[in-house]
Amino acid sequence: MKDNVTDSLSERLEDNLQRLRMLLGLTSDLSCVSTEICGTVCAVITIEGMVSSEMLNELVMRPLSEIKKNDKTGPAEVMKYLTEVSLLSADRSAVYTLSSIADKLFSGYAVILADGICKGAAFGIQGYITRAVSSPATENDLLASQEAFSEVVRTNISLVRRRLKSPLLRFEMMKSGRISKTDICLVFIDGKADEKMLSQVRRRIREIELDSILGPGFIQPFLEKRSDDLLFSEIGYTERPDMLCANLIQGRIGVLVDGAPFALICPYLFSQNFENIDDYAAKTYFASFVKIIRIFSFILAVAFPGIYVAAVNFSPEMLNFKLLLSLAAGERSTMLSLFSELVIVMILLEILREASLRLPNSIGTAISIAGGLIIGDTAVTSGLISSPLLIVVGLTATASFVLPAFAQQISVLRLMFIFAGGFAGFFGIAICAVLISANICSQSFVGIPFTSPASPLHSDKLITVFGRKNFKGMAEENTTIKDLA
Amino acid sequence: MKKISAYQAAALLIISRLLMLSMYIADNGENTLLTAVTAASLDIFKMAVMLPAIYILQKKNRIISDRQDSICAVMLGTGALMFLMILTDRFSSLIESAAPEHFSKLGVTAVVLTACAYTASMGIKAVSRTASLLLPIMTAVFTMIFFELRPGILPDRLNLYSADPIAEISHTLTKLAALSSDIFIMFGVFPYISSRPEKTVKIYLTADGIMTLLFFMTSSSVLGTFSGKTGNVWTVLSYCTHGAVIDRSAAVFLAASTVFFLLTGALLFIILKDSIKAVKNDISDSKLLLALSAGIALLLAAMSVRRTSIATLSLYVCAVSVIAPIILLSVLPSSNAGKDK
Repeated sequence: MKDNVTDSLSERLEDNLQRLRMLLGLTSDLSCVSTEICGTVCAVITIEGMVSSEMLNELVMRPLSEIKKNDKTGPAEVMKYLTEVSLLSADRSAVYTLSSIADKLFSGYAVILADGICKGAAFGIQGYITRAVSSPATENDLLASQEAFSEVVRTNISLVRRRLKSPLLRFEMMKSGRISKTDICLVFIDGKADEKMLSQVRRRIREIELDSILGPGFIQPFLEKRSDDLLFSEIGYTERPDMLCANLIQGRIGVLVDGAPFALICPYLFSQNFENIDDYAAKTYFASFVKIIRIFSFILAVAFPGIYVAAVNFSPEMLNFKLLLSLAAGERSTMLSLFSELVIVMILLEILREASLRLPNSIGTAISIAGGLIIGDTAVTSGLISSPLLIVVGLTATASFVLPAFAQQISVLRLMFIFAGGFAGFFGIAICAVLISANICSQSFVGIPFTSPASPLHSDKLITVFGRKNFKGMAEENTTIKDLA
Repeated sequence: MKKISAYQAAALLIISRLLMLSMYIADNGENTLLTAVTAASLDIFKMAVMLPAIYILQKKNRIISDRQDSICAVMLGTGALMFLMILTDRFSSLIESAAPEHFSKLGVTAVVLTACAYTASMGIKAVSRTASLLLPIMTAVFTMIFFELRPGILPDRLNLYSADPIAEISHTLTKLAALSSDIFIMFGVFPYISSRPEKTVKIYLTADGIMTLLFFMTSSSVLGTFSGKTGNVWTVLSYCTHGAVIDRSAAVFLAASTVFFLLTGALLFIILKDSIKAVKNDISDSKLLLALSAGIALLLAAMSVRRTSIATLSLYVCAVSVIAPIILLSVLPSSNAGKDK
């Protein structure tokens, strides 16, 4: 109660300004311009860089200076005029406390305080520097939209709204982060999104107790129930507004975070990771074919090196005789055991990947050449690794690039399979496969199993795992994510 | 408690049955064709007994599902423990015999029990979903392998002759009935099925009949009279495969048995854990599962050192399962009884 009293605005303008300066720690980017409106002393307060100077001059300063100076009225009338009559900005509101003024200022508002009244007027004239809407960097496509989300949540809202011109589309703003007070926007379609799921998402966001939310990655672990125990995530990312819209239509919930050009999608099923917006532009048979290729690539990227080492070291009888001879010849020329070779090469591959990931493109290419050609070729000729192994590694690496969304999981699981296959052959591979499958199958988001519709089986929707329905079929069905529970 | 569908339960049961088949050891001179016929008759008998039993259980609504009947819980728990020990012992022996230069029985026991405990810690839903996900994959793999076995399948090797058919049938019947852990597992799974458990029974027993017939007929037609001299039929059958891509599928058979064991073991762990929790509820799931896996591994190691057979131990276990409920009956308050009614 006491805090509320000290936080409330007083009638003395000087006192309010002094307290606001103290609240903001005498920050140097706080700007206070004093003026007189109809005989009442007022102050226009902004944070430098957060507001557009053009809009400040055109929408606030000039209209205020044009008000007739001879009309002497009281502060209450001035404030009423500002908050209820004037059209300085479409986004206007009244403020009563210092903390709400601080919130508004940091969100790019101009606040006008008047002497003699414990109330202020806030006008949205945001004008901070932002990146323009650009094409997607990680979700490239051939025949779909070339727009991606940007860092400003309002811009992202407009990108979604433009695609779904429905009165049922809802945006719910929330704030999270004790210090950062980041804007978070829940996006959903009323009637499609499950109420229970919505309330769970709202509750989980409200319960976040972090000082700062600097991106969707800070929210994701809080949206998942057993984040630390799980290998995969029940929450998906997308940088494409069209992809988010497609998910909203299926009853999913989107979360936009201010400062990040990505949207979170809850829940995100395992099979969705094999989808691409281009699938809907391709012929049905081709979309199905590509999807099967993606699933096969995932298995190849995760398990192939492990299976290779298990087959060669533990079960050579599996292999064709000619192939076995060729492998044996290759291995005879190397100095390390197959298992050691594979572990070393895989770790080298991860180092190269990590090195090229965050470097400028030109240097990244140089690293690929140095790593792939020079090190690879020299390692084979010097007898450090065998040629068949290099083919296995190359195949695995290429397959892992098919699904960038699984990059983290593929890197770790691949090593797990190599160790399992290297130490215990197919017995180890089977143990590894069951443990990973059980972990994946244990995941669910508010009652929606992660492995749905494959397990539990929804036979009518199984086609979405291995292909896609034709547009006639899609037009006829009106299912949402709730139907997969 | 009611968490899994009838199909998922059936998948779990089919996998546990496949495990039993993969560990089947033929007697010296056994006629596997006769075994196939006996197994089919046993399957019909199981259906005739189990379907009415399930209907009665549903109607009476008195089963350990509500965790209030401590006696049933103790008996179910001891049964699960016993089966877990027997299966682990047999499975680790199988793996050790498959590649003695790579695997030791003790190491395999420790690894598989830890893996089962981890899988069980994911919950019954996860285990059943994994089973229903892996079963079609396994079926596809075995269909492929079956086609690879085709050139070796010769119908003229099928021979029903037996010197003493009645004695052999009765011996096989006793042997197969003793290996029918599926009956126990079915009643263990029953409390978890959300609806129509009779559907589980029908699906499972139909699949069981087909699988058993196919397995013994294949082994008989591929191995002929040698099938009774091979020991583990599953392993020997795997050596007879010859495919276009995979030369011999022994490793695939080994991996498949491991998958079957891990899922069956995890299911038994869950039944055991829930039975313990029905009596003592203040233990965390993960700690309990870890303690159980360590305890069973130590017990099996101790038995291995002392050369005690599981059969001897099962006698003690059965004795405990009778004595423990009597003690519990005298300890527990009377209001606990009949709460489900």
